[in-house]
Formats: sequence, C-alpha cells, structure tokens
Amino acid sequence: MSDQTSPEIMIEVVDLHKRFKDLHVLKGISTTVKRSEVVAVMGPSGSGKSTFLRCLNRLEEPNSGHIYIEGVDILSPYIDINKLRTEMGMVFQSFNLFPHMTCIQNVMLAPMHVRKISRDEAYERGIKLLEKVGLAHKADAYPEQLSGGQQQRVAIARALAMQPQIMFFDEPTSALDPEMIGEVLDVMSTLAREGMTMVVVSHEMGFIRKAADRVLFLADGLLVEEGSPEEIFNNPQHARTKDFLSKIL
Amino acid sequence: MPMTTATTAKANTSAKFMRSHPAWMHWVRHPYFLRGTLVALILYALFLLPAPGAPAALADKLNLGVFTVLVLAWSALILADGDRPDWLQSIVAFGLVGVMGWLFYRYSGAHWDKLAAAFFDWGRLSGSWWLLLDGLKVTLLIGLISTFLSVLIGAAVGILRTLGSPTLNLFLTAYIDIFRSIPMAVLMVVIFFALPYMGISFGSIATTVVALSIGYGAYASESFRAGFEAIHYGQIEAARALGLSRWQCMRMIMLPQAIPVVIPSLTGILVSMLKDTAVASLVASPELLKRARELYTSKASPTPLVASALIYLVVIIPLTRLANLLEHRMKKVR
Amino acid sequence: MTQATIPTRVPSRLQDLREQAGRIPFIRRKEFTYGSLAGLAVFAVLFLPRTVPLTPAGMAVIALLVVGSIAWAAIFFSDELKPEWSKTLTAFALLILFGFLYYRYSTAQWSRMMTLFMNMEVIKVALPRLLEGLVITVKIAISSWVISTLLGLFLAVFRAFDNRVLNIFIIAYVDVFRAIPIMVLMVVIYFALPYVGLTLDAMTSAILALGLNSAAYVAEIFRGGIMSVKKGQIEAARALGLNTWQTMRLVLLPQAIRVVMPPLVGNYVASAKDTALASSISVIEMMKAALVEQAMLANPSPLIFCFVLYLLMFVPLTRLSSILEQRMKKSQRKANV
Ligand SMILES: Nc1ncnc2c1ncn2[C@@H]1O[C@H](COP(=O)(O)OP(=O)(O)OP(=O)(O)O)[C@@H](O)[C@H]1O
Ligand SMILES: [Mg+2]
Repeated sequence: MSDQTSPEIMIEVVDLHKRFKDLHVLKGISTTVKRSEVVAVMGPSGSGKSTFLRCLNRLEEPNSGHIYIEGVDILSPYIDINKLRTEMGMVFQSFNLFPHMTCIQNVMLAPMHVRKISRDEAYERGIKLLEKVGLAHKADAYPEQLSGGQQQRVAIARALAMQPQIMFFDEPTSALDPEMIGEVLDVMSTLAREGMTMVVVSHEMGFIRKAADRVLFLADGLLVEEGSPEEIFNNPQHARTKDFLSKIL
Repeated sequence: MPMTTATTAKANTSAKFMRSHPAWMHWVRHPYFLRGTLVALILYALFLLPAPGAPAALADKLNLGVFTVLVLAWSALILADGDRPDWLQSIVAFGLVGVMGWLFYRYSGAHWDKLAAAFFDWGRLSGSWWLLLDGLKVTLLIGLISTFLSVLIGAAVGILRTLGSPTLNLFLTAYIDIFRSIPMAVLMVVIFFALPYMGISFGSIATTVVALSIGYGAYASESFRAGFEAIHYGQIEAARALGLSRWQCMRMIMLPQAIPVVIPSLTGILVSMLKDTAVASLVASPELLKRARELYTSKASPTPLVASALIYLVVIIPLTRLANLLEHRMKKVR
Repeated sequence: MTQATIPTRVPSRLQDLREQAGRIPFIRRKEFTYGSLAGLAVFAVLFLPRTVPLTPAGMAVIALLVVGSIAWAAIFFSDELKPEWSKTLTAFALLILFGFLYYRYSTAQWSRMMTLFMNMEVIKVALPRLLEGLVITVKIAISSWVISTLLGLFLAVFRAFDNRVLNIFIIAYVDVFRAIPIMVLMVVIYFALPYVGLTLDAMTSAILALGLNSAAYVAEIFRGGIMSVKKGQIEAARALGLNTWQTMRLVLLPQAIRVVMPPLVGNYVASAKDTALASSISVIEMMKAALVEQAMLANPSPLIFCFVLYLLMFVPLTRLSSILEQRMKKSQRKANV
C-alpha cells in the first residue's frame, strides 16, 4: 500500500514500538513527514525523542511497526542499511567529529568510502560545504582546535556531504554556549529555506517558530500532540504540552 | 594598622619563622632533636654494631635491624621536610646510600676480594663469546616472531570482541582467562612434554614461539580492548550514521583512534616477551640463558651467567625506557 | 550565501533506493549463506580423505575445509542482523567440526587417551608429591609478596621525597630489576653468588629473586598511586584545617589505594605465577614435581593435572584483578566527566 503513497510523502512512520528490555520507550508512534517539510520534535527529557530519531535511520532497531522512506520499507531485511543511511544525514548533540582527522577529511570520508567518488571530487564538494557553513578557512584544522559551534557546523557539513534527502538533528545546540547557538541555527535555517526535509529535536523556540512547519510533541513514548508551531505554542490542547511549555517559556 | 597585622601573620607562619622559633615546631623537626639523634646514631655505629661478617646470633641480627631502621627514619625526617635546603637533603641522601652500602659490605658475609675474579673473569670467556651471541640471536628471533604473532592474535581477538556477540565473547573470554592465568613456564612445559602424546609435537624453539604467541596474544587482546573502549561510542554512531559499514568503521574510525592507545602497551608486551624467552631454557631452547648455563658448567665459572644478565640489561633497559616514553607521550596527547 | 550548489537539489534518488532494496551485498544474502554452506558440506563429503595417514592432498583438503568454514563463520558472525541464537549454533557447529576433524585425522592413540592424560591411578601415585609441591609454591609466593610489598613501599616512599640523589639510585634499582628476567636473576643468585661466599639455598634464592623483581614493580605502582592524587586535593584538605597525618589518612590514602589496588593485585598474581620458574634452580615446586612424576611414571597425567590446578588457582585471581581494573576505569571515567 505504501508504494502508492504520493511522492510528496518522504517519511511515513506507522505504529512504531521500541523497548529497551523492560522499558517501553516508544509506544506506537505514527506520523508522516512531507518532502521539504521541517518537523520539530519536542518533549520532556526521557520521553523518547532521541530514540524516535535514531529509529528512523536504524541506529536503534525498532521492535515493531513500519518506517517507509519514499515508500520503501526500511525495516525490510532486503535493505542494505549502509546505503540507506547515506540518504539520511544525522547531526548529534555531541558533534562526534572524528578527532584523528582534519575537518575536510571528516567531510570527505563518507563520500569517498561509501559513495566511492574520487578524492578530488570529494575535496571540491567538501570545500564547498565548508564554505556554506562558513568554515572553509578551517578546512585543515583538527576538531579539537575548533569551538563547539564551529565543530557542530563541520558536523552538519559532514552530514550534507553525502547529499542526503533528509537531515536529522538531535538537540544540535544543547551542548553549545549561548553565543554559538545562533551560528548553528543560521545554518539550519538556510537548509530549511533551501527545501531540505528535516526532523529536528530541539527546544529552541525562536528557531522552531521561524523555520519549522510542524511540531510533534512526545511524552512518555506517545505522540501527544502535533500541529503548526503557532497552534502548539499559542494554543496547546493537551495538559502535558501546556505543562511542558509553561516550564520552558 | 590591619595591613601590618596581616603581613606579620604571614611572616609568622613562614618556614623561616618557625625554624627560628623552635617552640612553634613539632619536636621531631626541632634542630636540637635532629642534631642529637645524629650524634647518637654515629656513636651507635662506632661502638654498638656487631663485628664484621654475616651476623649469626639473633641479638646481632636484631642489633643491625634496629640500626638500619633508625638510620632510615632519621633521614626520612630530613628528606620529607620540604623546607630543608636542597644541598642538605642531597648530603643526607648520599649519607643514607653510603651507610646502606657500608652495612651491606660489612655484614653480608661476602668475600669481596673474590668478586672480580669470579664474576668478571672475561679471560675465561674468550673464544666462547659467539655462543652467548648465538643465544642472544635466538632470544631476539623468538621475541620478535612471537611479538608479531601475538599482536596479530590480540588484534583479531580484540576486533572480534567488538562484534558484541555473547557466544563469541564466551569463547574469547575463556581463551583470554586461561592463557592469562597459566604461568608461561607451565604452558611451555605442557606443550613440550605432554602434547606429543596427543600426536602434536613441536621442536623446542617452535614450542617457545607457540607458547609465547598464544599466551601474550591474550595480553595483547586486552590492550586492544582497552584501546577500543577508550573510543567514545558517539564516534561509532556518527560513522554508522554516515553509512560506513561495520568493517569500514573499524578500519577508518576505530583502529586509527585505538592504535595510539595500544602502541605503548604493545611495546611493554615486547619487553615482557623478550624477558620470558629466558623461560624457554626449561624446554631446552638454545637461547641466551641456556647458553650461559652451558658455559657456566663447562667453564666452571659464574662469569657467563653474569655476562648474560648484563646482556639482558643492555637489550631490555632501552626498550623499557622507550615503552615508558611512548606511554608518557600518549598521556600528554590525550 | 555563496553560489555553491546546494546538495539538496540533486534529483530524487527514489529509483536508486528502490533498486537498492534488492541489492544488499552479495555475501549477506540468504542465497549466498545457504549456498556456500551446502557447497562446504558437499565438498567435505566428496573430498575428505577416508584413510588415516594423511596424504598431502588429504591435508590440503582439510586445510581448505578449515579455512572455508572459518571464513563462512566470520561472514556469518559479522552480520549484525542475524539473530544471536543462529550465531551460537554456528559457533558450536564449528567447534564440533574441528573436534571431529582432529579426532578423525590426528594420529593420536584415541583408545589410550584416557589412560594417557587423565590416568587416575598415575595421578593418585603422584598426588602426594604434587601437593608437597603446591605447598612450596604457596610458600614461595607468599614470602615474595611480603618482601616485595615492604621493599616496594620503602622505595616508593623514598622516591616520593623527590631528592635528586636518591632518585638516581631508586630509578636504577627499578630499571635493573624490571629488566632482568626473573629466571636469570634466580640463576645468578643461586649459582653465581656462592662464588663470592654468599650461599643461599634454592628456595631462598627463588624467593629473593621473585621479591627483588616484584619490588621494582610494586615501587612503581605505589608511586603511581601517590602521584595520582591531585595537588589540589591536598591543598583543599589543608585549607579545611586537616593536619598532615589527617590529610594522609583521610584524603591521600583512600584515593591512592583505589588507584593502587588493581595493579597491585595484578602484580601479586604475576609473581605467584612466576613461582614456576623456581623449577629451573631445582626447587621442587608444583610444576617441577609434576615434571619429575611424569618422567618417573612415563605418563603426562601429572602435568595435565598440574595445569588444571594452576587454572583453578589463577583464573579466579586473574578475574579478580581485571574486575578491579574495570571498576577503577569506570570510576575514573565518571570522575573525568
Ligand atoms: N541504549 C539504551 N538502553 C536502555 N535504555 C535506553 C537506551 N537509550 C535510551 N534509553 C532510555 O529510553 C528512554 C528515552 O530515552 P531518549 O534518549 O530517547 O530520551 P530523550 O527524549 O531524547 O531525552 P533527552 O531530552 O534527555 O535527550 C530513557 O528513559 C532512557 O533511559
Ligand atoms: Mg535525547
């Protein structure tokens, strides 16, 4: 059935469950993400936001449910997960740049070894991306020589280097000092404007208001509420949402 | 006025003040106490110590023991005191080493006059040096081959352990536990004397190489494990999220980060390995110690034994230093 | 904005993705897994030699089979999506296969295996001697522990005074005694020292050699423990008004001991294992006893028994030391975060 879904639908999640031993973290999540849509995921700590995101590229194996990316069931055993992941970039809270490689090497690594493009082409693409995030002059620096915000922007460039169709962000700014948050959010806003499909776990209200098309609110492993940022922020329906928003606003 | 009080208070707690006002000092650091006890110790040494030669009577042994402890305690009082000037501490250190040497010289019961003739009788070794050097060659050969093999085994086991399969880990842990627990001598002897009954027999050198490689493989795999554990799990996650396969992730992300951590301990393994080649004399490998013992018997002189000990020192001390240096450097880098 | 092309504007790779759906790597596909397994089985049935003294061709077949099955298992094991039970099954199947190959093709005399290796009568005859050896092993181990702890502690404390002159002597001691193989030390003490009038019996020589050697390591371990306590800790304690002794007892020692314990236990285990080296200077400790018995009775059972005894003694100790080490690492990691 999913093969017939409109090409406009990028991600379709159906009744997703995830357990860690006895802990039922995701209790049946269903939602869809359209092409070029920017979806923000919010929710209290431990509600399963990261787990949800990590299931979408199978860094965690869901226990049951379906995930379709462009109509392809990615939980099927016939999927080569490594190829699949090249379609989805991921940016982590803790940057996770490879410390033994320079920035440009970090960016070039996956295109060269997974996509098997030539070194020159990878270099060219890498430099362009570093320019895009404003860090071309740091191409030959090692991650430890960069500030947190710069590291995170390199991490974004690294994810973009695979030319993914979708980008996942897991609290990309929560490990950053306030003055560095802006530069990372700017890069993300640009991406959103350019039409990238994005799923972002974040509590940056300003960014969400400006860039997000839709907000998912998770609590206790359930999708409690979803809607446009205005609807959710100005007129939350569910008690959990109200409670949470009152705390962070 | 408060200014002055503050400065006086500061001056009053300084070491200089305390030394010039003995009433403020703990009595063991009091100069009169230290001088008095030093004089007492000198008198003790001059008049109360037993006659030279190995002490036979219990009283003499006790006497020496008490004197030694007193000397150590007294010098510790000076050396532990950070406020004493360097030159004084150095004199005390020299004095301490000198007194200890003197005690050993006087009371060990050794015939010092025979030392040179017995231990450093190089003349007697002339013409037989090549035997020792031959032994050294075998030692180095065994050491290098076994190091190479054990690093291979260790890397393989370490990498297999990152697969995280409980079954596989069960076997690998069993391997590691068994071979870390069994003394190298026992392993060699069992391989050499018992396995032939099972239809598996090695020559003596092969036995040594097999035992050392398997045994140290277990140690090497522990080093590799430590190296992999030092990698933040986010690194692996990021690599997998980029679409690198498991093997690519191992090759490009994990190994490059693990190897700097592993290298110093591998150097340590090489050092222990070279030392343990001496054990091979139990299974008649013609290595350095074995050769030295043969010469000891044929020449009826301990010089070859002393020579072999010196050769080991010359080969191994630089390697130990290198291992320490690498470890130091790695710690600094991290 | 720079005019760099934007990576998101590439044409949709929907087709690609669809095609990839059927394109998991060849070696991960069911067809390959089962096909190659069947291939190996057919190969084994067709070509395994039937007669026992192996011809070179037969050896080659067995080698191929071993390599092939290991490769197959490696591919199987490296697949993270295969369920764990199938891996367990594979592991045991592999073991059984190797066991079978060894059983079938080694020239060992299987009918005599039990009488050779676990001959209870032989062990019964040898047991009193082995136990005597065990007692001696334990005696040597404990005595050398005492010597090395005392001497090592002494060296570490005097090293901590950090006096240039003393350091030279202590470093020299540590370097020399860590570099000389224990067995060489034993041989020199036992065979060479009598020439200058210092005659020690074999067991004392063994204890002394082990103790002197391990003291060098113990000294380094204690020094590491003392140095691991940060200067700020001592300053903080002094600032709270604790005196030197209280600082030592309440702040320094508890932290140092946590660092020192794992390597210290490891070192004790190591020197206990090294007691076996005393056999080289004819101390009848357990291994020597086993060797003597196996020569006298012309049967390796005492050796095997001794091997098992060593395992029983040392596997728990080795475990203990690695558990301690692991625990320390964890607490350090926590402290760093
Ligand atoms: N690998 C794991 N093993 C066991 N439990 C886990 C694991 N990963 C996450 N959990 C648990 O799952 C729950 C959800 O975790 P998750 O990281 O998805 O929360 P989150 O919403 O991202 O929280 P935060 O805002 O703090 O990042 C938590 O209770 C967590 O303890
Ligand atoms: Mg999270």
